Amino acid sequence: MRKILAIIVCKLIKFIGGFVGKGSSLPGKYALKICPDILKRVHMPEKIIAVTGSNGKTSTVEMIASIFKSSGIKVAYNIEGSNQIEGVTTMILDNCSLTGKMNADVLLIESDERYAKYTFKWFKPTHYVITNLYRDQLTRNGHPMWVYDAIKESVFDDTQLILNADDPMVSKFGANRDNVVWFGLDHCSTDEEEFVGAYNDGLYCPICKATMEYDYYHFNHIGKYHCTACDYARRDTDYSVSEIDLDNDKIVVNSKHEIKLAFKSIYNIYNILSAFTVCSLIGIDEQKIASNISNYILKNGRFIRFSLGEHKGTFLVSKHENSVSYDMSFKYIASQKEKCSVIVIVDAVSRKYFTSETSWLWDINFDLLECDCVENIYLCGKYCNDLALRAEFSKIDKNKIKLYEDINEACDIIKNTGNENLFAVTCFSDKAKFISNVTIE
Amino acid sequence: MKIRILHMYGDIMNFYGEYANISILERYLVDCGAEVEVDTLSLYEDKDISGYDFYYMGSGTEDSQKTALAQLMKYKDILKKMSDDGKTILFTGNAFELLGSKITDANGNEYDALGIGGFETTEKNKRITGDCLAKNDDCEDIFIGFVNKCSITKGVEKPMFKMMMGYGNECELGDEGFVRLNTMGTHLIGPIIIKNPHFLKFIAGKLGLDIKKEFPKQPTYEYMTKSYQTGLKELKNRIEQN
Repeated sequence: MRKILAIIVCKLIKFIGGFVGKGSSLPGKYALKICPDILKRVHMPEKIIAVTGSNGKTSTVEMIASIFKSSGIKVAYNIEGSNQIEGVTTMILDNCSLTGKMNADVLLIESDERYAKYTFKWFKPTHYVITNLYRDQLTRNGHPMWVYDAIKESVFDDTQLILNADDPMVSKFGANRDNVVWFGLDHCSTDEEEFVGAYNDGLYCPICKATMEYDYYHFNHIGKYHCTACDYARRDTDYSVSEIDLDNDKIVVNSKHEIKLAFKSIYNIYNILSAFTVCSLIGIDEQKIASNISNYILKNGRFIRFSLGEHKGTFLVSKHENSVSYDMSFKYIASQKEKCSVIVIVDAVSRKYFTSETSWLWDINFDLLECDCVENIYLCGKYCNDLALRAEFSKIDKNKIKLYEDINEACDIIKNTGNENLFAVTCFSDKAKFISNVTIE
Repeated sequence: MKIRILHMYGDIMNFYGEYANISILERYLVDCGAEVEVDTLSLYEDKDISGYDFYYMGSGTEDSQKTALAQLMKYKDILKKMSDDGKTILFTGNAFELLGSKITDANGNEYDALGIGGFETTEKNKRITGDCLAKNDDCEDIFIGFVNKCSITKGVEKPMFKMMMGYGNECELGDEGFVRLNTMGTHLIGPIIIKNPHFLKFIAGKLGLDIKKEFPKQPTYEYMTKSYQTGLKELKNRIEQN
């Protein structure tokens, strides 16, 4: 009885919430109050796929869902921002009949890395993707190994793990375990022989703490590593990107399937590969997956084209308190052939909680912006002085740097000067403050 | 006279951009006109670490801290002597815990530490994080910073700060950190010397030369001063709101 009541209440609040634009965690929260073990009582689909990790969760889930849908598989999945137990509960109950049977072939869950253990206390994923573990929101996450320990509590012996072999911390989940499918990049044209970054989290073995060596790096500490003392090493992959051809905007998976890239970022490549892996394991024809995912443009607003005066621009959503995400954006900018200017905004560190902590700026590799194509660097927002101080300790030519505490003022000035391409780099928390000044294309 | 700086285990105890503490200190001393040598000690390196003017270590994971401690213990006597001799030692984040006599991890395993202070630290399974405002008796200006730890420290003879916001040694407001002669420990993480311009001058003043007398034209850094003001204002507002 409580089960039915919880489902009805959840659906009702969700329905009303839809009119007033309220968040997606509230209905689940009430359902859990009425029936705390509701997730145990729901009749789940046979296949339950979970995706967690520091970066790439939302994009990966979106791609998997898209491939499923175009293959005729009925999938229930959560959208970004509702990845803790309440949001997951809302999504599950919303896709349930009143008797508690899920109306989907597959349940696909983006799970917050710290809270996965609470969600998967009630049911187990059959397939569990862990994308990566980086320094991310350390003001609430502590550090990546703290997150590792939290995720570990949600990893069960009989779950099929799907792990990023190139990430030494993620790979630790697969140590002493057989049911792991590994994905990763082969030695590609974009690799670096030497470490590039402000810090190196791959210096020491996650198992025995001895020195690690890398044959090459894909980016930061992601690459082909092995420990010099124990047998911990990058695993051979079941699913690989065998070729990256950025000039022709394409990658090749498992030496066979060509996939066109709508966005030439290595992040996008990893997201595509993990989505490909999951869909192949579920049994979708690989040729079909490749054609479905080819030229896929994400709909989650992480990559937006805009114009400002005579300028054409690209908005690259990066995450504050996540240096790898900034490094990726800067690397993408540095690879441009045409002249451009860069706008970096740090105004509110987080949209979800208060903090004035800016130590993470020192982990970002600002040297990447010292390249021929970058003409001006506009540092904006409340923390523009923190940004400027950080940039002063980089290789960036100081004459390129311009400071504006007021984002609107910066946009006004940029609008009336020049016509070079623009790249705006900031987090969700500061996105609207910039977007309100430009025309979205 | 040359000022010699030793950045210890910056390859593993570096979780919140702590290397920048050394970058700013070096720049400041050079801009003052001093001759500066910055040396590093990496995790498995053996070397004579006596005779530096400034010893620094930043924060790591709980695991990294134990790894660093195992290596650090071979320098226990020399570091104690350096502390006794009045050399300046600054350990921040959970490196601070290494200055005490013992660390107990969340599983109850005990680790002997440097014993420069008699205090003991116990790790828990709960993370404590938060922005901080702190007062130090020797500096007029308030310190801004951030605590990110999972431990409680007890038995500190003389603390470094009185907390106005955030978490002290026992995870409440009150005393934070540790001071003995010119040895300092604090759980404030990251580039606290950059975040606090007064602390930069304070540390520089401790490094064996009278900066005011020898270098009357002391540099100030506009961005650093302004970012301190921004941070201070934000945190003071936060206190008022709560």
